[in-house]
Amino acid sequence: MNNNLIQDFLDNRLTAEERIKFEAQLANDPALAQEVAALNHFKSSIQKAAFTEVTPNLQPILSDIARPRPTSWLTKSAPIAVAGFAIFGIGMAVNRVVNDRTNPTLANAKTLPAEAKFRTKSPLVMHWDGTDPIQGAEKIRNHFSRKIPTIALSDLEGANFTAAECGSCWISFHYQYQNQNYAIYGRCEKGSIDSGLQHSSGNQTFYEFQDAVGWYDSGDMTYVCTGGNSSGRFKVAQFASKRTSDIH
Amino acid sequence: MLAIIPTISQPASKNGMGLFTRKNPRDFEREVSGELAVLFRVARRLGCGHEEAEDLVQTALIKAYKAWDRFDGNHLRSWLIKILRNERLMVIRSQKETISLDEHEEIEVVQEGFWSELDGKLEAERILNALEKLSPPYRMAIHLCDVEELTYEEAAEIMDVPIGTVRSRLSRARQILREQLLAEAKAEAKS
Repeated sequence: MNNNLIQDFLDNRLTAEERIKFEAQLANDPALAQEVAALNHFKSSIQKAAFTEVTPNLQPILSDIARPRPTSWLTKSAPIAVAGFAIFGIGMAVNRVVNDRTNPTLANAKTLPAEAKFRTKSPLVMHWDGTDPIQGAEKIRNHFSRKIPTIALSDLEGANFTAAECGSCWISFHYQYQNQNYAIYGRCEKGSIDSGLQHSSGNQTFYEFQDAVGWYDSGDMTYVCTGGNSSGRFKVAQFASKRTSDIH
Repeated sequence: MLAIIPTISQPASKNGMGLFTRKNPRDFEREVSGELAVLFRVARRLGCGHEEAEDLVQTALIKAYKAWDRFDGNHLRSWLIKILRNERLMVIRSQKETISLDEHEEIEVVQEGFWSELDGKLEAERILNALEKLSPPYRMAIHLCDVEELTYEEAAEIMDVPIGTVRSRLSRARQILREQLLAEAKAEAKS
């Protein structure tokens, strides 16, 4: 019995002549017929097994990529706005550098590596502006299949929740604290912030970068706090890290 | 009011032979929508974890969208899978992983009841585990031809190999799978 002949028969690779010959052989050889049926069953079992795997809903990702955003007067005037923001941003950055130089921890710190910039890893799926962190977390949960914490920062005086966002593989919470904007990004992965300067506070290890501070929760998530200045970031991260391990 | 420009392309199914035409960006979402599950499954077979597979599909979709106006309308599924596979290979190369391939010549099997012996030992979980253990080229051959039912020609185009190689990989992959499933079933029966 030729196994390749059976395979070619089932995969429709035989010529018409070869097929007729094989079918004649099949009709007179019960063992061959049984073997063909068994390989056919084997093939369909592989297919059935592969189809049992759960496929996530990828439609929002496709829609996000495929639907071009409408061009409005806002977009047309974007270059002017960008220039304005750039001037403002340079001022803020200078202010931040001066501020951060007073922090000896950051003297040797690296900048946040590209792999830890979770916001860039997949396009935005949901943005929600609001002041209720519970509602914000709920909005993310509607789009994000994993468990996520509610990080209210209600115990950090002066911190106000401002927005929630998520992509298909990342989440973020946004706050205003001491007139500065901060964002906490989370993603289900490990290892991307290892290059940061390590230091511990309580039971938590933090990874400091010049422009961010990160930490791992007790499960499989990594969090990174960006924005504001170094002391504010660390404060926000300290309080947030108490909540990020609550869910596991 | 926006006018919807009709295209003359035929539906780009896996076997569709569309006319060469520049694709309307508006068609992208509609046509690609039905291929998302296929792309995710292929990404998983390419060794990606669940989230990594989502990321890979997304990257491939972005690439496909950018190249959509150059797509000729033929074999959409193969075209998308090829983009996905190339993206995965780029990641693997950047991580300096090497894919080992124990390439074998075609093996002719002569004993009686070669496939029949498997009857009753085909459970989904066991098959998936055995699939994971196959080396990547064998796993891809099985997945493209047996799961997604692509032709040898389409699989060869995706994997950048001659049709004969697809045939021999498929043959070898099925035999390895069969041996693994039998061995596991026998070990289970003994215990």
